[in-house]
Amino acid sequence: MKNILVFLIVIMSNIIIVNKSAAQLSNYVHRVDSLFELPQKTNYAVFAKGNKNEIESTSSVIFVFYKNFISSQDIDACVFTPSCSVYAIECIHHEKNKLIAFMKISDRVMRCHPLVSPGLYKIDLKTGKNFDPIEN
Amino acid sequence: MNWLTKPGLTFLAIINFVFIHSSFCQNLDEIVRFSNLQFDKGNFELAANEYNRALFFGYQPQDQLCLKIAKCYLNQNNLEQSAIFFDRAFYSSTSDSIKTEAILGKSFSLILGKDFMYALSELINIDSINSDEQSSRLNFLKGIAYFGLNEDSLAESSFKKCLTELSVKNYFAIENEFIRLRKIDKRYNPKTAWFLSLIIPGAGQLYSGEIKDAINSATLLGGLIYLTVSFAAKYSIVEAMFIILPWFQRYYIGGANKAERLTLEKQKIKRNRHYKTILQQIEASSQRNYINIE
Repeated sequence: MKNILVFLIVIMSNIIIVNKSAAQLSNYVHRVDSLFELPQKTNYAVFAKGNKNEIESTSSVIFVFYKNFISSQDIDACVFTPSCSVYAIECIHHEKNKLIAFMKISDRVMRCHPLVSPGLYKIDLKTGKNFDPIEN
Repeated sequence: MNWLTKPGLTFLAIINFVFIHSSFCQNLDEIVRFSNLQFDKGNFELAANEYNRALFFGYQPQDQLCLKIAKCYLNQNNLEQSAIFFDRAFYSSTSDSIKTEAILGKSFSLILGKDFMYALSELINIDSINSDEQSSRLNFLKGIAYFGLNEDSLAESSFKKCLTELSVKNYFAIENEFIRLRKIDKRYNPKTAWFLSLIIPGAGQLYSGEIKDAINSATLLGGLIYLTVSFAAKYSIVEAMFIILPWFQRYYIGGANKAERLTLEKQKIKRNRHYKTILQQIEASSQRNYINIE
């Protein structure tokens, strides 16, 4: 009787330990399940939404075409984040006066070169590039 | 001052005395008990704040409290703070079991932050394993760290060590997954894609299975070559080289780089698929162990 009791206790403790271990490992597995998943690709069509006039619509079409078929095959040459093309489309959409938007875009394109003075802009930690949004 | 007569004062004194002695003050044990309750309920932010309060006022044992705080931060995905508190638990503890638990926790935080090398260096430093469960977790984390560092054979042996003798089927399933992984590494070689794109623009993209990108690259570079030739015929070769060649060079190198990137992405996608299957096998094995013993 005593032996049976000891046997039962051992079996029960084993069940509890293994159950706990399975649960712990299972917890770990669920947390690391998506560890090696790639981040989603940027859908540039999002930037081209909400066009209010012909200038914005035309710019959006050119932007999406450029991003998908030309820029995608280019080297990573832009020194800013957001890139000059994204800056341009955001400028066109946000600036009411399109002449000012055009001047801002021209200014940005002229500033985009590898000899940018260090410390002039904040560095975006994600991309390691100079952070220059349209609010600047 | 009429109301403050002698019987009134006596009455106030009695009331004060009763209130002071019957009033309940929250002590450190109460705070920790409340935090434990919040932790079990899944309110990790509140639990972490309360544990921190208890820690600040000197609750003992400190190591277990630090371990709890670290787990709260881990559940909130605050990996940096989590690693800091696991470290604190390690240094404030004298128990081997808690020390091992702290290192395992810290390594897990580092792995979630994709700092595989640092995690591995922590895991290798573990010198006392107190239970099969800890050993299983250690090997599992080592497996992931090696997998993240692309050390497939070491990852394979670590993953296999998580399994017990009961799960022979899962053992061979994992072995098969790693055989397939090695084939993927050979099939999708980024350097080969880069080189192919340099020989024939678009060939690298074709090699990685991206037909749309291959056509795009070939058309773009074909157009630039046509422009160079027509420019040279119309004006001069020198002018054509000065005007078109910089553009050609940009898209030529850019195309090769993209082919390399696409192949690497493809390789990662396929590796991720096999990684998930491996995790399923490990999970199934750990579940089956429980069922078998039961």
